[in-house]
Amino acid sequence: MRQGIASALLTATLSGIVTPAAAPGQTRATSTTPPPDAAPLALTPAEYNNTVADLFGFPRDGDRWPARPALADRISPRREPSKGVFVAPPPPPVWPWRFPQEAGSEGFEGIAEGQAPSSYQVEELHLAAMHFASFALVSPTFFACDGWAALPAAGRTACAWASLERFARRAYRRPLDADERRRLEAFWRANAAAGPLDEAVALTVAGILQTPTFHFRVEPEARAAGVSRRRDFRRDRVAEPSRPADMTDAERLGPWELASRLSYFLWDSMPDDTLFAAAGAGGLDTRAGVEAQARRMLDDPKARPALVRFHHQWLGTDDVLLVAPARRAFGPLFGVEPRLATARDDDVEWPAIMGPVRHSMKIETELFVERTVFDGDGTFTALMTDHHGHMSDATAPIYGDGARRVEGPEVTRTIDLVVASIGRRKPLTLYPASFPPGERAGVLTLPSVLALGAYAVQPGPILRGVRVLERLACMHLGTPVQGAETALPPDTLTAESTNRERTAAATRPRTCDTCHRTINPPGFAFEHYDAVGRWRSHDNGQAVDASGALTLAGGERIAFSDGVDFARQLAASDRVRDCYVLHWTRYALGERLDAAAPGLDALRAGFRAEDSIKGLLVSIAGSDLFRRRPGADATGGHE
Amino acid sequence: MISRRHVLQLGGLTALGAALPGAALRAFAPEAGPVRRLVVISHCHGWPYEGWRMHHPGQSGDEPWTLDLAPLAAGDFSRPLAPLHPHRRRMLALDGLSLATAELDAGGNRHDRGWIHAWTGDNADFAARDTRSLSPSLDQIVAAHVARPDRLPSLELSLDAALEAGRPISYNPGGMRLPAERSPLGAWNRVFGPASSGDAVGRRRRTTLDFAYREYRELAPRFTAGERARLETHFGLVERLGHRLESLATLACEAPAQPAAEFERYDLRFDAFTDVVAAAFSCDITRVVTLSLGEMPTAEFGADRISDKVHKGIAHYIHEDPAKYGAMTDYVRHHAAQVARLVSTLEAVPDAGGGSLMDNTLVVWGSELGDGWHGYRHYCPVLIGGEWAFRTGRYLYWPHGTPVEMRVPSQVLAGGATRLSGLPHQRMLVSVARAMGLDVDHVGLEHARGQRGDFIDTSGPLPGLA
Repeated sequence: MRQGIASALLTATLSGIVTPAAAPGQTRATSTTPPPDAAPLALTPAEYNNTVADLFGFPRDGDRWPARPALADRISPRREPSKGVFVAPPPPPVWPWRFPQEAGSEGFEGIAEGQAPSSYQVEELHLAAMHFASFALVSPTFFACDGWAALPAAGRTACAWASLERFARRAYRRPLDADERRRLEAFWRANAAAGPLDEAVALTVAGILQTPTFHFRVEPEARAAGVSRRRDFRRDRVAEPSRPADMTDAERLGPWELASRLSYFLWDSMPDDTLFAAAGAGGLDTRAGVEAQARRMLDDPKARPALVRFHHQWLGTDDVLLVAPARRAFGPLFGVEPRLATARDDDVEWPAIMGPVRHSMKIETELFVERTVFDGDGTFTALMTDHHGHMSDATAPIYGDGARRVEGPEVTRTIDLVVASIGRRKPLTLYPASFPPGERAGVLTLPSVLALGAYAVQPGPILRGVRVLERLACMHLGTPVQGAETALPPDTLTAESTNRERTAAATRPRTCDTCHRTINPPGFAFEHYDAVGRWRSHDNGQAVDASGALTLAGGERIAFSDGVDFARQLAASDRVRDCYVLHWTRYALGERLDAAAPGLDALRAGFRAEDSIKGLLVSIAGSDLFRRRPGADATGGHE
Repeated sequence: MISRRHVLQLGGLTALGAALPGAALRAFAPEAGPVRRLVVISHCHGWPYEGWRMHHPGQSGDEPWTLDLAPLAAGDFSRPLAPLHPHRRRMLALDGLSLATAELDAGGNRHDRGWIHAWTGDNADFAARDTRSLSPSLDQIVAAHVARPDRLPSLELSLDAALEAGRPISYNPGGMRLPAERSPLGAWNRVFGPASSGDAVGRRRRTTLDFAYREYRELAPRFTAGERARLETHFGLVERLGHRLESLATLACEAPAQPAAEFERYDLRFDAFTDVVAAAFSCDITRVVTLSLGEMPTAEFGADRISDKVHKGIAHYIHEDPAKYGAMTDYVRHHAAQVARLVSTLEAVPDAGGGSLMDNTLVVWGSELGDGWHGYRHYCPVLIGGEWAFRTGRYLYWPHGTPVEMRVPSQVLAGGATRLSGLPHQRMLVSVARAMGLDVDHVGLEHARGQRGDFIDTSGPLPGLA
């Protein structure tokens, strides 16, 4: 665990040891009118799991967690898992907890309007809290003393309470006020009186993990000054920070809330000690202070999976594990007969091939994003046009002879798949590769993205076109007309024309053409790629025509010769860059910000000019939009 | 604490033919309007179709037809369905469905795929170590609609033999399989255990929910109206979860005796489960039950002279060996007898609002395959009950006309595949969901694509059931 001045400062700050004088700036926050309403954000499944790992000081890798403590079965018995036909399924990992997926908003988690509470979710949160609580007893960071289990009874009790109080401050991501501390202590004492001390510790932790303050990212701290003076959350602050002149206390986020917003934006997890210390010391009260923290956080390894997760949601590539290319179409590509000899034959061969292919596609996407943003050029242009990446033996047939292995470290990941009814874990090694620049250009030509834009046999120009328009150009296409799906060309091998011709014919009727004159061209741009993302020069014996033209919302017109040309032009498009900025800003704020929201223009202008993805994230973090309380008027000036 | 009079002699009493003391169980706090309940039973390895089906004299196979079961004698029933003859006025036998979408789904094992398609109507997710579904199962969809908020939403049971276990029927909204209780004692503990034991663990779990809820109430005045609306919903559900734990711990209902820990026979275990289900329904502890029937020992249905394993000793060879085809017929017949006993048990227990439990229950009996060869072609579910929604007492037939190629053994059809399948079974799931009060148009998949690219509509209820 990181120790030092920052940690010590955090401890002093959060425990309320240092009580500063009343902050002069607070006198401005006396309005009795609360800011406009905003739905609080709940931790997403990924955020919850990362936060729990960080709280207990365990890695974000369930294989490296200790075994589930016996205490866990005492306070929250597990029912026996159901058996499989042939073997029992493997026990679930101790981490992460599998929560229900959020409904999401335009493909993104962590947006308030896409987070609907459900009975199922609440049950899972309860079970997860009971499960993880026992890990406090084996956590390297939980206890505030050494050798807790061996202490005399009085010492154990005192240390347990001190540890719980510290844990609560970190779990709540802010100091506790006196009332909270009193209630927590009462809960702890009741638990300690009712059963063994280790159970009492775990049950108290379980309670903390179910509170609104842990599970929701909501802080009434600044408003408390205006709405309820008797609870002054600012009294724990160690220093009066400098204030930006353009925001009142009621308008801007408090330091603890801002620290949480920043850490969940860039890390998908809770603040670390340094960020807590900065919040406590007023280090987040200026744009420069926030941006300095953002830069530091982007250099931390925790930023990598968080940024990858954003791009998975942007591109929808998490779902690539569900693509199901047909054996009858792609069996020969992967070395098996296209037809089955018996009904039982599809138990083993095809799942054993497709499992690693799907996983490889997903990991290739992650590595491409990570290497581009953090280790490579770091630009949006590179994200959209780079022809370097990773491949594995599983996906080598997709990339074909044009792919060339290049110098660089191999990456080996453990993947899970089911073959012949048995869950298996196996290593998958990926190696860096260079692809023909005429065949691959950035994320849109990754096999994951292309396979998701396809049916079992044929590529799906409509799926691909809609993805480009909605996700990359922020164009809203409305709902397909009634019966549109029945009008699609059959997904069959025995076609007499090209896929483009069939799709064009199916969408030619006037009721379809109104939208499909816009949808089809960006889809046809990728006709050089079959349903698994393999490059092809011909379709059904005819040379592929992937040319077209598209007018984006706002009037920008793009004419292209093929997918690679299209991707390069999209990379330079103002509309596409603005859309990327909008997605990131919405993601950072957790709200479905209007594209015309004040403050976005400056971010867009900066990104158009600088092209830097990390630079964009720093700018978002430092923006008034980010530092301002949701719903507060954002039309004020800048520092 | 509840009264623990031993009003039911669990452990095979009904299996031995003794009448269930119907008046012994009483439901407390009846609600306005009838309580609707659902039981989903699924056995392994499908049906031997030729032996299962019934004929309508004078009807061709090219047109849909229905057969009124009421006037039929037991001898008129097919051998596998004959045990259900006493309940014929409550039943609907469905001939003409297929697990067509399971045939179209890719990857995985045909059993696994079949289980998920059969009860979720959706594709399977084989990307992780544990097979998952892409949407919740029928029982969970129904449970979300009919369950009491203060009781168990559903009870998942699995009748395991020493051989192969019953697979999960139930998948939650996240697509994860719900663990099932595998012994009658486990089921009893889940249903009545918290009440009878005082359940210190459950009570202490409750304290964590109470603490969280109290914290919310303390903080609530500081939130804006918009924040509160969202948090009220969440913590309202937290409070309800606490009530559910409390409700089970303070249940005012007469519980049956604890069942034995072990049963020597599959049939006895089935009947012990049946009694727990009847008691749980009578006390309104749950309204939705799934019962997955693990592989039955062959001695139970007289086939031990052929093999000691149903799956790999008999089911795989139904199209090759007439003796094994006959054995599978007996196997399904034996399961039909079990289903019939469940129905009889539910008929013997009065319901709080009048009539019997069975009068307000719909039993859906299906499987994960069409036949033991791993085929999905002939899917033959039976519905029993649900008279409030269905016109029961009929055998319904629909000709196969859906453009999905279904795999069959080459000795059945040269080429190993038919060009057509039966109606997608999802339409039966929709019918059941609607009978249970849901306003849904599809369960699982809304549509699919046949191998030749045809559009397959899997939405809407089965025609002619209501």
